[in-house]
Amino acid sequence: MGNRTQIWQIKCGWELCVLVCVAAVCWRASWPQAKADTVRYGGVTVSGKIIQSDAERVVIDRGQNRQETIHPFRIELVFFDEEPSTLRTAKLAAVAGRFEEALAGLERIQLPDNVDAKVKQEMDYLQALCRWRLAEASANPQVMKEAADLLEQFIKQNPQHYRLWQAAEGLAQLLLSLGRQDEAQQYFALLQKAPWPEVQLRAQLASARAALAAKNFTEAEKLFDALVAQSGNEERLRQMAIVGKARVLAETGRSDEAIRLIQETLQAIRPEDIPLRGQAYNALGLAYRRAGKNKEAILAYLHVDLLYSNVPAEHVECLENLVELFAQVGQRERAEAAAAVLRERYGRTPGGS
Amino acid sequence: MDGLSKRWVGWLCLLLLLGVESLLFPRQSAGAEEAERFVRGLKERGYYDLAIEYLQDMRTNPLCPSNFREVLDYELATTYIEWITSGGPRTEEVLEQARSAFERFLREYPARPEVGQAAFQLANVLVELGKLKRQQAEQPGLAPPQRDRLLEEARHHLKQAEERFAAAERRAYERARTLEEEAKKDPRREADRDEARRQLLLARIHLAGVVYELGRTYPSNSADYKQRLQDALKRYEELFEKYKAFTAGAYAGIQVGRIRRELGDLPGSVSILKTVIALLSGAEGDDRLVANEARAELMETYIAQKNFKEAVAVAEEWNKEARQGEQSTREGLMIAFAAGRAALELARQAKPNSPEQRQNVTSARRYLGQVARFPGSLRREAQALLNDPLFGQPALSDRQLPATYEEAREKGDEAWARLVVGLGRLQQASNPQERSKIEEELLSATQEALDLYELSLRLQPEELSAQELTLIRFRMCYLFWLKQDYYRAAVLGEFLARTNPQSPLARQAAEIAAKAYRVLYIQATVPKEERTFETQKLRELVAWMSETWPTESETTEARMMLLDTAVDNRQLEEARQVLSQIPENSPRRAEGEIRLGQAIWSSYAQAVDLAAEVPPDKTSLEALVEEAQKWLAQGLERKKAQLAQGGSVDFIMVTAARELARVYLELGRPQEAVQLLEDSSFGPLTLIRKNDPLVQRGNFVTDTLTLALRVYVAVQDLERAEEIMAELERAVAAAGDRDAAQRLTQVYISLARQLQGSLRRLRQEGRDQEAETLTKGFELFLTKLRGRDAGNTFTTLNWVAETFYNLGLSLEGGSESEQTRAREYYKSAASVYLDILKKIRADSTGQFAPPGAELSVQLRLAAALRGMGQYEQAINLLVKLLQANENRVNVQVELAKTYQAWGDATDKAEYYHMAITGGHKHENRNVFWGWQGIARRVAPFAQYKNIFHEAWYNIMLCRMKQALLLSERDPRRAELLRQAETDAFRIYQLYPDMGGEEMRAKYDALLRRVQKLRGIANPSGIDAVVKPSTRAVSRAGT
Repeated sequence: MGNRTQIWQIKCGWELCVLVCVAAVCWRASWPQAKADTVRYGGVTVSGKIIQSDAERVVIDRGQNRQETIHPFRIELVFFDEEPSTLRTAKLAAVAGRFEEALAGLERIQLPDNVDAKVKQEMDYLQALCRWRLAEASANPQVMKEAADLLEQFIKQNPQHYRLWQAAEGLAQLLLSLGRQDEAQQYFALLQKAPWPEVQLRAQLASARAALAAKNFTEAEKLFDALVAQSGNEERLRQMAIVGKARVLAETGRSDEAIRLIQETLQAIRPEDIPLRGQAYNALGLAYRRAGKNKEAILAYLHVDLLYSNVPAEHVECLENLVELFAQVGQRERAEAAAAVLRERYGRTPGGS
Repeated sequence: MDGLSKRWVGWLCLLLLLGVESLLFPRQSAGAEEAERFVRGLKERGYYDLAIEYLQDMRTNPLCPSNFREVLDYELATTYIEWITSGGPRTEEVLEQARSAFERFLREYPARPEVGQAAFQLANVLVELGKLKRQQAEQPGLAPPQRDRLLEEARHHLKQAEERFAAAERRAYERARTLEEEAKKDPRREADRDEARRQLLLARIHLAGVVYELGRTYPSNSADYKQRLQDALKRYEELFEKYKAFTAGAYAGIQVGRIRRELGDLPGSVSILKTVIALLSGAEGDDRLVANEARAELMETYIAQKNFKEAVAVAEEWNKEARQGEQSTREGLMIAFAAGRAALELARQAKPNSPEQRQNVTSARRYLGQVARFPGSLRREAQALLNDPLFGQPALSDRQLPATYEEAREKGDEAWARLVVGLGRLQQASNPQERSKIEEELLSATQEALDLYELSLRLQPEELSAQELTLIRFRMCYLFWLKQDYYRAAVLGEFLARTNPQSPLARQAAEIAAKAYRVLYIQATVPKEERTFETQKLRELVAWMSETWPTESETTEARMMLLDTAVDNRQLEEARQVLSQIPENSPRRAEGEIRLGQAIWSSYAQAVDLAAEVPPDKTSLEALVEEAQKWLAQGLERKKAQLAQGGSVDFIMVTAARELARVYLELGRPQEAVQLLEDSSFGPLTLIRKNDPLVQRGNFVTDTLTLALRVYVAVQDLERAEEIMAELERAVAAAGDRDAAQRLTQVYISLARQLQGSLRRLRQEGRDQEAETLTKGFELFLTKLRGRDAGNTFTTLNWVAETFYNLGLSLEGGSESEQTRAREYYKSAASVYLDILKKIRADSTGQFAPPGAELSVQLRLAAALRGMGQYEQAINLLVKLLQANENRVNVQVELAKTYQAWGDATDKAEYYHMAITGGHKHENRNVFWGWQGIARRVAPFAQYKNIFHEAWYNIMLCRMKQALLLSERDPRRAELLRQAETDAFRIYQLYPDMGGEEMRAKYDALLRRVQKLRGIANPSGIDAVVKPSTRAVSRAGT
């Protein structure tokens, strides 16, 4: 073998070593260390030791005098060093949207007696979270009530937990859906005290919707207008506020204005924002209905039924209106078909919400 | 330029082309995509009408994306087409709409990529329009100028289609030629080349089809016809030769077969069709459908050859291997239709009444009957063929079709004459077989007369007199009536009357129209409140007749129809008004008064039944009773007067006597009721004893005897009451019901409920003395029955117990002493139930009581205990039954009622709560479901619909009662009332019919009460849901 060849081989071999080492480091860096806490937020994952976690901040010591402070409401996932791997698996399932699988995983976990309290808290929150998401998907009042109870219990038992804000937001939404506006307001008030504008704005929006649901139109309009003014770059929030405002206009005899507003907004809402488009079309249906334009109202609601039916709350609203509208225009079979979906798919009973 | 450069230039050109294309045809915007998805969703749901409205609205809708606006007309046109092909209306109007939309699109957006498809589809629409016009021209009896005009229009459409297909063919040919070359050089172009070839083939097939259709617009013996068909034939033959390996080629082969047949080349037709079938042997999917169509065409050719046996053989062979459901496809029906015709011809040729003829008739009937069952283009023809005399009915064959007005009129008159004679003979028919034969002849004469008069109208000369025209129309109106085509009878009759009011036939025509509208009302399948068309038409007609012929008997007849309709619609004010217009001396006045009296009494009974929810106004109830009595008595008096003048007793009179007797009984005047029932001329009891056929209708006998039993008990003639009871039992047994005992039990239960209703009414109206007399009478009677040594079956004892129970129920809510008496009656009921239970348990043969009786008696015992105020005992009994079997819905209901009653008695909210939510843990589960659990469990089952709604009604009621136990300031009161109101709205949203008319009325009454308690000044009940302006329809959203 010639020298050149030998040198080439040595060079390649060395380079290969380096490559392997770098790869190993990278590989190690990308996975949680065996003995470390991990936090994922905003698409970034950091590991270290969580030295503080409460409702105001989560601080993680990454070693070498580096500490990172994370706003709790932005956290997507946390792994604690002490928690069993089965809990981590359940958490990953929940993040991936496989809530039933996560719940099944939780049931299999057996904790030792001396387990760290925060592990139990993690399990409690995970269970409440999964129940909440499943309840939203089912739009079944009984299921929503059970989920609300769990969230409420978590909040009461852990008032300073870093998951407080997500739990409070979820609970407020569930209470609104269950028609318990007054109780929802308590949690909106809590969220509005959060130290971050983003959380406050979302709470304000929910509060405005609660006022609308309670038919407090003046207050609701004021809140929606304030949101539109304050939302800044939060375009989606602004659009949601406009849709809410349009509902107020419709309910207070200004249907034409509501229709115009929603039509303009629909042109701006992103096509893939299914929940918001569903909300907008339901609001449009309401505005047409208030204006006495039944045919246009039917077409607006049918947009939700045909295109945006995978958001249960919006689908239920459109179906309830379609039952009445189809009956009014003499299309009984179509009314009965809509009523059947309410009964069979959403388990709606007369006693529900 | 060297090869490489040429290649690069080629690539550059292609890229440029693609780039330019993308500039010209930008990617679909999101808005357009949403609009397209929405339209597609509407169509998939079958909401074509809404899709069309949406597309039309989008023209002026600011939400319509500009990209989508460009294709609006295209979408609209294709939606019309899809609607037609999915079974929607294939009318000229719809086709014209499609055509206009395509033309607009092509005119305004000639550069759109859909233009090619649109041009093609437009050509197809033109072909359909052409075919429609041709079919209209082929209608029998058209005047020649009219026929010619239609054929010209057909040709015009078809020629336009021909031009378009020819242009499409030229374009497709050029494109295919270009791509052929390109694909040789670049294999990636092969897919485009194949598509271009396909388009070319399609264009050629359609072009050949148009040429063929054009040919059919000419008389079959004309040169134009032959020339066009030859042209089409040549085109199809070429296509078949070139493409026989493909489905389209096989289709071309079928067309060759068809056209050869039409040109008279029958052997040639058979040959090619057999070839096509052989080529497609064993095929699946579309090819299989084409093969089936080829078979149908082959059979048609055999029929043309008069080779009927062969045609039938093809069908039979095919039937052996036909797949499930294949016989009802379009091609399957074509085969059946051809087979039916062939078999019919074989039957004609066979010796009359021979086995061969009978077999072929059966076969023909089977095949044609199959076709007649399914909607489709052949259905009408099959139905017409089924009228063939060979099937037992004479038909008007083509050979007999008259060609002139005079001939058609004369033959029509002949058929009319046969009809008139037949109607006379029918009245004198002495036996059912004779009747049946005459009825068949009448049916045939009716149809024949109708066909001939219709033909005569089409052939009518210009100088035809108005009088003659009116006569023909009148006879047709009557014939439609006889044929039970009520809509046509009504429309023609009304038209005739209004356009010729001075004609002597006009009044009769109007009367037929009024009666026809009435029948249409009765036959309508929608709820009564939606029969607005029939009601309104009748109103308008009667109003016009009253103006035009105020005193004529025909107008009186029409008024009677309107009166009946007003009564059915529960519009008593209108009914009163109509009655007031019927002259006092009219023979129909009596009937009108009786009808109104019955309706008012029914209204009174309903108002009293709702009393638990909404206490009725006493004054208005009394007024109703008086008015009901007045009309019934007056009507009966008129009938008696008619009787005295030589008239005869009719069913209306007997019914009036019975109903008036019922009113007297309810008013506490049983003696007068006895007089009516026993009247020697028209008394219902008298006629029953005589076995008069007049009263042998439906349940008249049992209903009358049941009433008579109550009457005799009320007058305390207990001997007579016992005799009536025995008569009743004999009548039920003689009715021949399979389970006479069950029927008798139902009669007694109904009797007990009627008694309970009567007593409640009497007490509510303060007629305590009459109530007391009635109660005493029954008490004595029941005690007598109970004390009998013999004759006490399970049925009679059960009835005794039930009646004691209902006596107790009638005293509910009364004074202290009445409530004490009520408890005594309940105690008597409980005692008899215990007796029955003892007998059941002691009976080793199982003969004493029907199966399942023990459970139902235990349930009734629990109810009696409840009535006695022994709630705990009742509950214990019921809970034990549930512990044995929780799924006994009737026990669940009884327990819920018991808790609810306990709540009423003690004013304890916890009992109402229990009634709603259930409880009683047993083996770790609640065995008692409560009303909510009952409703949830029975909801999926249609047979429990009544229980479902009873449960929800009681949930609302319990919530209201719970609320009433709280002070007005207690926020829980408002919440409970709100919940009750929401329950009603939810019921409406999820079950729009709300359990039927009666249940809906109960919900409505209760809801109004709740709304009033909530402080709503003008409670609107369910209307608040139906009319959204009074109710918010939005949700908070999430």
